Amino acid sequence: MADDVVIEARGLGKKFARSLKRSFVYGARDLGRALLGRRDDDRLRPTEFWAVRDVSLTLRRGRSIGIVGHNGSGKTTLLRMVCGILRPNLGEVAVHGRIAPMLALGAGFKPVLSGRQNVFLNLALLGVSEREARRRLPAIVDYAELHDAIDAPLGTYSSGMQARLGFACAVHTEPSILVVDEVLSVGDARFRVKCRNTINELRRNGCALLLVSHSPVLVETLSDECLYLQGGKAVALGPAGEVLRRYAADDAAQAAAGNAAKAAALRERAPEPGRRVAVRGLELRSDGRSGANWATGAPGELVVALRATAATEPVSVNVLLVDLVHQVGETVQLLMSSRDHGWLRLPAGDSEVTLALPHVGLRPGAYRLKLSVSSGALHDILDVVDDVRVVVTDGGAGANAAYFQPRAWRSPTASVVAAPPAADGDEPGQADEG
Amino acid sequence: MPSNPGPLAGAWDALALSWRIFRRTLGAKYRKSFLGYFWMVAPALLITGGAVLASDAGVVDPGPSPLPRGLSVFLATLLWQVFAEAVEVPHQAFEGARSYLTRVHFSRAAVILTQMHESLLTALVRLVVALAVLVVAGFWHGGLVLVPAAFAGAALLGLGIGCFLMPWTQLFADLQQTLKLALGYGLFLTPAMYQPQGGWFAAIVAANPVSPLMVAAREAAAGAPLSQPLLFGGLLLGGALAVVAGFGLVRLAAPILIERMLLGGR
Repeated sequence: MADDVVIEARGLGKKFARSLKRSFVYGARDLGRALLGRRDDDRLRPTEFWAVRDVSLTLRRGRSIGIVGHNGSGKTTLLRMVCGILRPNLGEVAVHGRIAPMLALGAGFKPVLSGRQNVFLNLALLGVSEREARRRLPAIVDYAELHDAIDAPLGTYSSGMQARLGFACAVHTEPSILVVDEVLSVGDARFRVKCRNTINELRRNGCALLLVSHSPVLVETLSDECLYLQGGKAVALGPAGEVLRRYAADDAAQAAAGNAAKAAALRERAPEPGRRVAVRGLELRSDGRSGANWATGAPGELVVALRATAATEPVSVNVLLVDLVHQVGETVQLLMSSRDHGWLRLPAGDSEVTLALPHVGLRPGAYRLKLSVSSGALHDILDVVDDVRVVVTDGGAGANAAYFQPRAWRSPTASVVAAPPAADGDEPGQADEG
Repeated sequence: MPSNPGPLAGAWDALALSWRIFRRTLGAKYRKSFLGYFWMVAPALLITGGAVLASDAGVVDPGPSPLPRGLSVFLATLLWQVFAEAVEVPHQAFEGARSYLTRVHFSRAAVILTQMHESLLTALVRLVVALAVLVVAGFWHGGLVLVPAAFAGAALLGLGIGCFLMPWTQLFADLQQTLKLALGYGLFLTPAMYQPQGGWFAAIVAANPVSPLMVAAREAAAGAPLSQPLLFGGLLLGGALAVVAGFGLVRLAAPILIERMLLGGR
């Protein structure tokens, strides 16, 4: 093994049971096997599945690997095996150096103890000696900007203050490997920038990085290589840009297939007694193409098929979009026909309502779309369709921005050329994703 | 995965880490309590009061004891508390550390040792109270040095048994409930308040591993020679060996248990 290898994982496999009760019975059996000195095998017992199967990776000093994949693809399980929290059922992992596991921010924090006491507690768990902990305490307090509050009980801290203290402890352990699981979405914007800059600083000093994120932009910016997991298996491992393009294409295709299936299910669902208006189908269109995902900056449409049992009272068609990638769980859009267009009186039978976006303003990523039909001043819900996945691809105009800005440039006196005269460096000022 | 030290170095690291955690968390348990240490001896005081009243009323026969009746019950009850708490130490330790056992890799034995330090502190308070009461009652002699040995025996035996049971009580909630019940009422299967002579109940009381420790503690406190010195010594040694073997089992079981914690179960 080369001297600069900090993580060497070979053929890692981890299985879990879907049935909680069975998992405890299997736990007792596994313990019995361990007592008899017998090793795990690669057979699956009833209800078991491979959360991670046959995954290998090599991380070298100063390098970084980003891990992408959908929920349940095994990203966090893989990180936990690398960090030694979970024992692999198959394969081996060797770690050379101190890991700062960012999935353990504030591990061991006790709310009744002061911030100061908690720093010592946390550093003890992260493997820092008492003497070192004393030496590093002032720097940690400085970094976390908690000078006035460090002797107050941790329970009196806001979640942001606790996150700052946890992060400060983790980065002051002089790690040689950073293991980051979506940590950059912790705390306020200023703190996220600070996290990001600290991680960059550590990396410049030779620290290796293993990063899990739902944000392809973040992974591409921070990673040299990218591992794409699907159903626990490594689908691709290679240069970040290449792997991410494949991931984005798969993600978009998967979302389109899922939405088509959802639309078919809506068409076939039996009428419910008492339901005056039912959603009978929905379709995403991009630039006039049916069933396509939206692209940032390009025109997009959502076509909703409705069926009313009789002519209705005025209704509103509402579209809620929730971010699944950048600020996970945050509502980014609530568009209501009643507000933008007016209340709709539907005739008995089938109707079609189209939401047309001249430019999709969402930045590239994945969103959860919730569609509802409501009536009355209090918006009583008549029907709702949730969990429609909208993948917004990069139409070439939306990367490195929080939203798409429709724009036009005018330069009446200057001539416009297709390419810059000399290629000497990156685009200026890449926006901070973290 | 962080490198695994040898068993001895690992044990030392675990002890050092547990001591650091214990020092930092000392007092957290009683921070919201005004009476603090009083609660460590209150149950024994209550049980002693009840036993003396029951004995005065002729409901129970305390049997022969080298110590005055109240003192005899008090000492035995404290000893049982030390044992029962030690049995629960490994389970409570893993339950309490769930949030960080599932997020960071460190010596799992340290979690149990940290809880054990806390339990030992409580045992020490109980021992000091017991010795103070004995001295005030006029029992001041060399035999008193064996009283701490009996307390240590109860703690070691309890911790050893607790380590052996913990993996199973973590996996199966029913077992944990059974254990709690057994520890709650187990005092009645000891010679703390009575000494049954003959019959199956007497056999059960005699088979209770804490019974010889209670007998020895009473004899030592009274300055009388030990009636079962070999059994007493054997229990001390057995307790120490059970702790070592129990920690081995915990080390083996920890990854399996932590995996189940992550699954959202107990």
